[in-house]
Order: sequence, then structure tokens, then C-alpha cells
Amino acid sequence: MKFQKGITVTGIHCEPRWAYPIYHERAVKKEDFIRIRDMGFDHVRLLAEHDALMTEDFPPVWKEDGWTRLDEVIGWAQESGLETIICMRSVPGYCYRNAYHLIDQANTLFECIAQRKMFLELWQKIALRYKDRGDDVAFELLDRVGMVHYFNGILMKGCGWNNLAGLAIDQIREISQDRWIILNADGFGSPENLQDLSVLENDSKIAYAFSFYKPELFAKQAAFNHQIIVDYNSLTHSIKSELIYYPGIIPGIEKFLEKFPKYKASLGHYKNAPMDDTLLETVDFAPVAEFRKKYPDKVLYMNSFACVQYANPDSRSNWLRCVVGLCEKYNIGQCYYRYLGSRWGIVDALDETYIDEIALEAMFPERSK
Amino acid sequence: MRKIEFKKGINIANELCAWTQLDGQLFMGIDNSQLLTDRDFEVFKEWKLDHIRVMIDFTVLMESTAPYNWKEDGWQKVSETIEMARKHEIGVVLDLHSTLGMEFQEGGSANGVRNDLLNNQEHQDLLCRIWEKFCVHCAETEDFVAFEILNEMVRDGGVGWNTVALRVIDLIRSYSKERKIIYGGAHWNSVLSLKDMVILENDPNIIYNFHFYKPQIFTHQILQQDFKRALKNNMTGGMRWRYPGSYPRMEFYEGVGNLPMKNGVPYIDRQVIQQGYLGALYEFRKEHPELTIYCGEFGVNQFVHGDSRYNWLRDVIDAFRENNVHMCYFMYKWPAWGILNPYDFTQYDRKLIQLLNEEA
Repeated sequence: MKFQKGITVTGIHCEPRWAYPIYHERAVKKEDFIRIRDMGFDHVRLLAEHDALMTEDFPPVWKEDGWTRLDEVIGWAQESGLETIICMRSVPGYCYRNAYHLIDQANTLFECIAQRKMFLELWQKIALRYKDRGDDVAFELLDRVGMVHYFNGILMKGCGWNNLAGLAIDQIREISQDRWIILNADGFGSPENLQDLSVLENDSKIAYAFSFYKPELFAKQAAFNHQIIVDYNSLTHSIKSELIYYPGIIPGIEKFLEKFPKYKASLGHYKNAPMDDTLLETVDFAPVAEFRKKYPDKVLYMNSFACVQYANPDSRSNWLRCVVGLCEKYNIGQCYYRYLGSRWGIVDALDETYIDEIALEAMFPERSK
Repeated sequence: MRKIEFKKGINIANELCAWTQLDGQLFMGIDNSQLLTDRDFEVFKEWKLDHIRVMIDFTVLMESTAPYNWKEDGWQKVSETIEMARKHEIGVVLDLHSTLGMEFQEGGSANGVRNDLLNNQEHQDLLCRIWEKFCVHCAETEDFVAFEILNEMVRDGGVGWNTVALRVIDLIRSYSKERKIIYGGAHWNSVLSLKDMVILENDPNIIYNFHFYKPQIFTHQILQQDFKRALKNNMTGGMRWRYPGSYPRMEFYEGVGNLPMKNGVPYIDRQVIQQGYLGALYEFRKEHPELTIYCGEFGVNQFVHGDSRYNWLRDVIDAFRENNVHMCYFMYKWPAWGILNPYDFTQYDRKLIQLLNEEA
């Protein structure tokens, strides 16, 4: 797969749910893609919203304005020499934000046949619309899938997503045999869930994707809208927003795991040892390495990774360089989260003259020479 | 022991600070007794600092109910801190961070009594009693131990606060004419309160003090109070404010002041910091070129973007240097603010130390 160094781009559609009173996520512009290319990226991952493209009826009514906008944005990326991934950030019945923030009742994709059909209709429509675009346009079926669900009281980990994704892939293949398709691991792209993906032995144009923010207490530190951070902060008095350095210990990890044993699986190895590159590779990254060993011929892709900009600058640099280094070692394309933002963006949303050089230097080490 | 000028220091918390008493441990997994050791004093020397400002809460020194008995272990800790500083030739500011009836977090003192120092004679007497004890306990330390009579008198001060402060100063002077006494204005030692302070023309050992964190929306960003304020106003908490930078929708925030506009959006930069927020310092210095002025607390929390933090610090430190202001950074080891990783002495904010040590 060509997609080696990418960045996630938002602002394709209006994204009304993310319109904060203090600043509105602005629409992406043609100049942004030129800037992205000049930074050294080879591809963009465009997060599209289903409600800009369709109604939630069956059959859906297509919204031509939304499609025209998507065409335009893809055109800008291509004109700038960037490869493009169309990634559905939301589909009828699923949006990761609802799942991640435990608003599960909004995510009914697996319980609702009509929504599953709408999902397939959407991908058929995308496949047909972009049939004649070159293979520098790839499809990512659904951003941050968190489909762990129960059916008749049985935990259906992975199965539901594999089935639905399989149907979508079949449909796309009927239209376009050579299109790159990115298939995300369940559990919000957790590396541990790579093993649950159905690997399509005979399809060489599938990329198996995961996201990487481990350990989350470090990479998302002080990002108060993430549950793990809320839980961690609940251990301490309000003045005690402790910085977490990398490499280094996770302060209070023992107390944290005692109070929240649900995090033992992902953080237990840091109970008696500090975070460092070795543990990151041998434990946190291990499921990725195992997948690579088991499927040496398959394509792996890290569709989302970053360290929140609240973190100590040196620590951010250390962690990002380590993660990028692991991807190089295991031959994995990378996509940084994200282009424009206030806490995560490579370009600052409040003042676009600010560039996150730490992230850029981690992805493109030659910049620092 | 050489005579300390208290030019460049750093705030520290050890077991004399109430937070360590209230919360058991200041940092998760670090014993409070390890917060200030010989190794830390070596760091201060390495960083070319001449003093530390030690936060001391009255609850560590005395019972908070009548008959207000002394806590000898607290006074013992004061002695130990001073002796450690003497050994390493580092000055000490003994900062009384709270007293009965006055705690900088408006609304209550450490034992739950509302701030009533200025209206409560008993509490004023008690403040004097504490300082009398310090005078006796710290005799023969004038060369390197300064007394800061009270941290951040809250909103109302003015005449009432000056009267109380002068009473304490008189008391200390009855024990020593040479002791450096640090005296700050009302409104949490606001720079704007410098002009309201009583100037003791004939006492060269008074140091006039203020604290500086303006604008707090920048320096305190993402910390708990910023979140609460943001959430209350249905805003996204945790915006990453830049410096210099734009500050849209400031009507949601208190105390930011009227800001100049750039491209239709409020904008904060060096000019706003130096001529706006620190304008009162320039005026005070112009009027009193002979006085020793001290900024006992200033800083930006460590979650703030590195470049922005250094830009703000550079502009503030430049203004301090222009006005010959002695300074004490907030903070050494402290959650969210500390410039040293308390778990690893090799990790600290090198660029900040470099800024503090740059020549004017």
C-alpha cells in the first residue's frame, strides 16, 4: 500500500455536533492540502459524516450538496499530489463518540436491520461514485469501531463487525477490484482486537488497521473528556493534576488499578515498571507484532495515533518517535491524528501560524537535521 | 553564612504546607518527607538560585482552636528546613501561607472559618503571636532567612490590611532591624495593589511583594477551575490558549479585562502583558526607584504548550529585569506546576532555568 505517512483531516462536512461555542471547526480549504503536502505527508484521511450525505431513511435520500463537497475535497487532495482515504466518521446507527462516551443507546447499527442496509447502501454509493478515481483513493469503512455487543445475551465480540464489513467489502469488490479498503479492528481500533478481524486471504488490497494511544494515561493525559482520565483524576485532589513523563512511572498506578480493576488488562504491566520503549514494544505493541508475524504478507496500517499536546514536550517527542519507529520496524503506514485542532492538531485551531514541530519531527526525522 | 539578597528563587512545598497534611501525599507514591532533601538543595545551587520560598500553613504550627497550642513537630520542621538551607548557603523566605481567619482561597481558612482576619481582633493577635514565635525561633538567621508576613491577602484589603501588616512589621522590628520582611498588597498580592501599600521610607529591609499570573485563563488553563468555569458556560473546557494569541469569546470569563483586538478578536501579546497587566509595576518602580520589589509567585502551569509558556515567561521576566524586580518562580515540585519531575531529578524544565539565568 502506498499510504505511508498521512494525517487525518476534519472539516469535510459541517460536523454540527462538534460546533463548540468558542470556536467552530472550520471547513477545510484547498490551501490546507498544499500545506499538508509541503509538510511531507503523502496522504490524507478524510473524515466524512453520513448525515451530510444521506437521510436516515430506507432507502436513503442522497444529499447532493454533501457529495459535491466530498468530490471537491478529494479533488483538492489529488491536485496537491496526496493520496486520499475516505473514512466514514459516522454511519446510520453508529458514531464512535456515542460509544466512547457510553451513550450506547444511540448506537443501534447491530440491532437495526434497516441501519445495516443503509450502511451497505452508503458504501455501494461511495464505490460507484468514485469508481473511476485512481487507486490513490482508498475506503475506510468506519472510524473507531466499538461494536462489542450482546445478541441474545451472548457477547458478540468482533463477529458483528466482521460480518457487516465483509458484506460491504463484497459489495465494493463487485464494483472495484483494485480499490484499497481499510478494515479497522473492533474496540475503537484497539491493537488487541486485530486478532479478531476476519483476514481475507485472497484479497491483497485490504489493509488491517488499528489505532495507538498506549498507555492512554500518558498519551491522553489531562484530556478531561476521556473516561480513563476522568477516572485517574478522581484519585486525587483537584490540585493534583500530575504530569506523566515518558519514559517514566505512572504516578499512583497501583492505587488506580486497585480502584479501577477494569484497566488492569491494559495497564497492569506498568504497576511495577516504568514506561519505556521496551515495554511499549513488548507489551503494548505486541498484538501488532503478533499479527505481523502471523500474516507477513498482509498490510497493516495505524490509522490514528497522537499524544495530546498537554504532555511534556520532551516526553511527547520520546513517545512519538518510539511509536513511529515501531511502525517503521514492522512496515506499517501511519496516519497522525489530526491536522487542525486545539489539543491534538498539528495546526492550532485558534492560531494557524502555530505548527506542532514535535509531531512533525517525529514523523519526518529529517526535519530536525 | 553569606548575606542573601533574595534575587532569584523558587517556591517549594514540604511538610510545612497544609496540602501535604490534608492529602497524605503531595505526589502519588512519594513520601512527603522526601520533598526537600540535600539533593534538592544541590539542584537549587546548580540552577543558580539564591533562595527558596517555603509555604507554611498555620495549622502545621499550632492548633486551630483555643488555646491554640503550638505544635512542636511543626516548629522542629521549620528548624530543620532552615538548617538545611544554611548548610547549602541558600536563603529562605518563610511564607506564612495562611493564618486563622485568612486563607488565600477565598471563602474559608484551612479550618473552615471564613476569612475574617481584618475584622477579628483575636485572629490579628494570633497572627502577631505566630510572628513573635518566629522571631524567637529564628533568631540569628537575619542574613539568610526572610519573613513574609502573609500570603495573598484576599479581595478586601486596603487600609485594613495595611494596618494589620504594619502591626506585624513593628513587632518583628522590635526583635530585629536587619530582618528582611516581605510585605504584599491586597487582592491576592495583585500588582495593582502596589500603589495602595504603605511605603516605609526609613526601612531599607522591607521588600514590596506582588504575585503575577495574568491572564489566568492562560496561565491556569485546563486546571480544574478553568474546566468548571468553561462547563458552566457550556463551553469546551481545555482549550489550549496560546501566547501570544487570540482569546475569542472572552465574555465568558471573569477578570480578563478589556483586551485590544486583532482581526476582530481579543489578542494578548507582550505589549498587553507589559503595558497592560504589568503597567502598575512600571508606575510603582518609577515612583519608588529605591525600593526592593519582589515577585514572590509567577508561573505558567506545565500543561500549557511549551512555546507559549516560554514566550509568556520571557516577556514577564524581561519586564521584571527592566524594573529590577527580584523574583521567585512558582513552583519547584508541585502537581501541574512543578518544573522538576518529582520522580526523576534528571527531568526538569531546562529552558525555564535558562530563561531565569539569562543576563538582562
